[in-house]
Amino acid sequence: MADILCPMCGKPNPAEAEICWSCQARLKPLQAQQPPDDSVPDWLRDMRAGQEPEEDAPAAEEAAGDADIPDWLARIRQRGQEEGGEPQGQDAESASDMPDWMKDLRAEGQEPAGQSSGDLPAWMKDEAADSSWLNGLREEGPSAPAAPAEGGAENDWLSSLSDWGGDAAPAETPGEPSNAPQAEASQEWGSDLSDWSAAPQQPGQPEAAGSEDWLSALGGGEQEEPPATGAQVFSWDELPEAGHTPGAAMTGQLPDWLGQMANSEAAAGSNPFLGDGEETTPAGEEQQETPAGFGPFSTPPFSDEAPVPELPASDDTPDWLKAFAADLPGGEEPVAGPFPAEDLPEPGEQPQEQPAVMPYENVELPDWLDKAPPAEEKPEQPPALEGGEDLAMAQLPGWLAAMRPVESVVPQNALPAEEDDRVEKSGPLAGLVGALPGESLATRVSKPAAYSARLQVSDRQHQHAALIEEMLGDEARPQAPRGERSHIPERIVRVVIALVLIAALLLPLASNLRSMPLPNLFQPDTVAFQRIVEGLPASAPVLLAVEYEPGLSGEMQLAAAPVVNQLTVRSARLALVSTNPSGPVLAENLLGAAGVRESLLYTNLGFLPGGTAGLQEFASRPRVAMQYGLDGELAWSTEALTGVEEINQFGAVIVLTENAETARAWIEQVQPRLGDVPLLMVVSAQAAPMVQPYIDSGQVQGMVSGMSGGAMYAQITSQGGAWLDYWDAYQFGIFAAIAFILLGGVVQIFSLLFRRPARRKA
Amino acid sequence: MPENIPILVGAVLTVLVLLGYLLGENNFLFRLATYIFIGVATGYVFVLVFYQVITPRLIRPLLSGSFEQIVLTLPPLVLSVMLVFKIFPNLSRLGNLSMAYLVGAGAAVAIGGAVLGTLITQARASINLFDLSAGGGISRLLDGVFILVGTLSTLLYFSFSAKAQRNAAPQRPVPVRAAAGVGQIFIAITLGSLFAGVFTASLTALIERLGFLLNLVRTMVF
Amino acid sequence: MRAPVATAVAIVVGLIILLGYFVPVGIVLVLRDVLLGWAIVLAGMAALVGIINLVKVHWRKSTVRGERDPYSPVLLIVFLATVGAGFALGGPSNPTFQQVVNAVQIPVETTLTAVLAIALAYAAMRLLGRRMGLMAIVFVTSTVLYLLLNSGILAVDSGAPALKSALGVLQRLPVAGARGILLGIALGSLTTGLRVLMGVDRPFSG
Repeated sequence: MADILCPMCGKPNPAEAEICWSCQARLKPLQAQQPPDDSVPDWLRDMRAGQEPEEDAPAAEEAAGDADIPDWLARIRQRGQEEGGEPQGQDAESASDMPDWMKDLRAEGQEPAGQSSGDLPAWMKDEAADSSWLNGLREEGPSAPAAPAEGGAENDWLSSLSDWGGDAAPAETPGEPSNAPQAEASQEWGSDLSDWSAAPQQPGQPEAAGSEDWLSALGGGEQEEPPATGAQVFSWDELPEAGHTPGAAMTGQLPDWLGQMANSEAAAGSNPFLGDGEETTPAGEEQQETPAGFGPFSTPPFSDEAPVPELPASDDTPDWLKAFAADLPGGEEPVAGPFPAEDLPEPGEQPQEQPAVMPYENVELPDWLDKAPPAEEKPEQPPALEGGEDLAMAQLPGWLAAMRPVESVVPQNALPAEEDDRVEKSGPLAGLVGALPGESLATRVSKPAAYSARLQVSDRQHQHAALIEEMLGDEARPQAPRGERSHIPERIVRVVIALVLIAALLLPLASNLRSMPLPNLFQPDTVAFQRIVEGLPASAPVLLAVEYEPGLSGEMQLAAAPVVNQLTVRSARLALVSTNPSGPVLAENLLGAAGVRESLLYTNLGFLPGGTAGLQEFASRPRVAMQYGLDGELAWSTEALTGVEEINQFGAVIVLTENAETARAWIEQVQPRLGDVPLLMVVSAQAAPMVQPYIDSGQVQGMVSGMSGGAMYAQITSQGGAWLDYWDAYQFGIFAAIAFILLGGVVQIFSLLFRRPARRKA
Repeated sequence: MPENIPILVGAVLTVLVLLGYLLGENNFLFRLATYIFIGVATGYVFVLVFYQVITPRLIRPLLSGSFEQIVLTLPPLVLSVMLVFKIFPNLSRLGNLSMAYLVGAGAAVAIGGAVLGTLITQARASINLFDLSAGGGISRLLDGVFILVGTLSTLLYFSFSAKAQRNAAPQRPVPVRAAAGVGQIFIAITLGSLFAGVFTASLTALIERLGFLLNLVRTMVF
Repeated sequence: MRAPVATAVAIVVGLIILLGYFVPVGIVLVLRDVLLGWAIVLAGMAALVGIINLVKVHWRKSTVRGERDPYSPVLLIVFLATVGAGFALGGPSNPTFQQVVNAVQIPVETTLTAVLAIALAYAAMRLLGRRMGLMAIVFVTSTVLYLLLNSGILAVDSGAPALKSALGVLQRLPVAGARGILLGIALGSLTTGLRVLMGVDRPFSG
């Protein structure tokens, strides 16, 4: 396969390359990657596929003459000359100004009507089946203006409506109506063309089937829905009249406006392809000659601000297009590409009154873009039957006005439209419309598509954003300045409270009054505890887990001492264990404080590491977990643990803890393995509320909580002890705390009462 | 008299900490007492762990254990050595394996205990409250309803799943919010009882310390 | 994936131990017990590593110029003295060595807890001053009620017929909330443990 020549640097590239290896210019147009059914007609796709290698030929080589013409083009020319003969009439006169290849095309376009596409060259046969534009080239001029409107019911024509000026060029190519069967082979766009082309063959008949009714009505002078094509110059009241037959006199078939174009062509030497634009009428004159019906359309706002005729006819403009531009009212150059939304005039308004261009950000695609217009909206009258003199000022219909933002909202539709009417400026395809872009593609600078600035976010994202915003707002919000408060009053209050509390405690401690009544109503949990210990068999092994911290050893000793005393009475054999490093020493202290250290048979197993994991192993195999005692000797061979192999062989397991988490660990890890062995708890007052549910569930069979619980237990078992010395101080201290709370509440209430009137006054 | 030294040291430290709190935690005496406390506590734990864990579980099996004991001791020994690398920042990654072992074991123990020791048993306890065959009649039924409502509403209070709303902050459904409001009351009651318990426990500690100092003074004076 | 080997170890060890809870048979229990025994050794070693790291930090704070902490040498000296005494006296079972707990740990910790009573009394006085609302009133009321209950003053039989019933109701009141909190804690433990066993959380990979 032949290499692709880069349109920028001319270097050959592999056929499959998309980017030139030398200059990085894109070799293949981007549109080729788009889905085929978007907006690009099939014929254009096919052309791109088939002509990519050819369109890269530089323009300089074409000008050099036949020697530089590629073979394929030479064959076309030769065959065209053989089959179509030489161009005649005006065409022959203008042939000198035309490129050779265009001459060939013209020659083919002037073939007899009976000639079909079967007479086309081989490469064009392929195109003819699908490419209606080629048929348009060969057909008569009037067929071209209606071609974009033909498919008006569908999407494709819309994309080409704004490009009508470009499409007008091939329509001016003289030729005869073709009988080629385009309709059956072409796509929608092509079928529209074929329908349209059939209209002149049956003048005087309404275009009910093939052509679009609304277009006929427009041509008939009904102004309800004139197809506004932006600034396109188009007089709907000058559509072909009835009785005109397609034939030799093409101008008789043309509408008036096209007739004017033809006249101007005649004035320019009867050459439809004006050369160099020297015949272009000045803009001022053309504005004076503007038909009434052109008003809203032919004077777009930019005509005053930037009159196109002031621009010299550039070399980039093909001659035929320049000629067409010369005939435009106002001398405006037809815009080949899609119109920017901001350049479009508002419908039904004078240019001076046109409001600012709307951003169209919120404009949605109209329904008619997706659906065919309803049949009742189509005018029934053919254009030939309607008079054109009484036409009112054309107004841009709403549906057509709504078309404009489509190009900005849906930019991907605008791009193919731009490509469709692009006129090749160089190379063998110079002057052809719709040729694939070559060198200009890489360097083209187009207005960027207008995308909506609104961020597309979902509701959930909105909520998350609101949450984050709220959180950040809270963080960023400056805190209300707090008054500079001295720490001295707070410290003084704290010291005063400390002194009052200490005094409330020291007074009963020093006086040793024992004035407060002792408890004689007992908690059920404490009673259950006492009954279980009371029911232990004599010399039963009891596991005593000393799990409290040194900080609460005072409370725990007061609570546990009566229990240990009763265990001593029951001659229980104790195994002391602790997951707390201080536990072994605290256990020794407990026994010493209870005064049973010498009389009680016990083994201090010491420290059990591992927390809950250690408890689990201890519950599973206690002899392995705590093989040695605190003294380093084998613990399970001592007299206190004789006969105990498993944890459920203890008479009871008593846990002494100040921590609810530790209590929970014993309940969760050890209690399931105890079976019928009761699990009892001596806990601090701070842990009691969290252990209570386990008593409710039956996992803990008894509980002594805090100093009051120890006092109750002692009362039940008629024991004395250190708790009696502390009982008054204990109650005094609690009363003092209650007094502090109530005092604080009263102060707060008074402060609120006195603060509100002050605020009201303020 | 040497047997009284710990008591005197304890008394001095008690006074130091007490005065330190009243005068402010940043004074010299308070900080000195806390540093001494930390030094003694860590030293004690070090000795205790060595004698209670390392010696019986690593050293003794290796020195005087059977072959099986030696083999079973090697893995924890290797893991322990790897754990020591955690001290050195450059080699701390070598200790990840040991930490992973500990974390995995701890997680499994926590799961097993939570499921078997709390979730199932507490749920069953809430159900059993409605067992009228156990006796108690209507009072038991009312107690069961009260406990069930309190438990569920407390749990719902900690349920923070919220339904997304348009243009508004996510909010829990109305029934959940109502139940959470009831649960908040139950939680306030429970926390109030916990606060009272904490104060009672610390008050007992204060009484014990004051009694200790008072007895010491009495001993020294009289 | 970070620390794949460590994660695999955590998952395997955790699953075997967890299996022992629900399928307490034969080889599973043996494996579970062995793995738990190793974990206990590692836990003890972790405590030692922590202590060594603490000493290392304080050694650095004692020796670094400019930022020297005057209390760190005291901590190091006391630590070394305690360890030396422990080894010299033959371990924690020695009654003389146990006096370090009785002479230092118990007084200091108990006094710190005692000081908490003063702080809580001060806080109790300001309970309603911070925020006056329904929950604050419920909380304060509950606190006062349970202080009275803990004091034992209500446990004195005064002959009032409804006293026992009132005490019983008061004792049952916190159970509902506590059970809900316990269930919440258990669910949290379950979730956290499962995340570790599924490899989602890897706190050991740092």
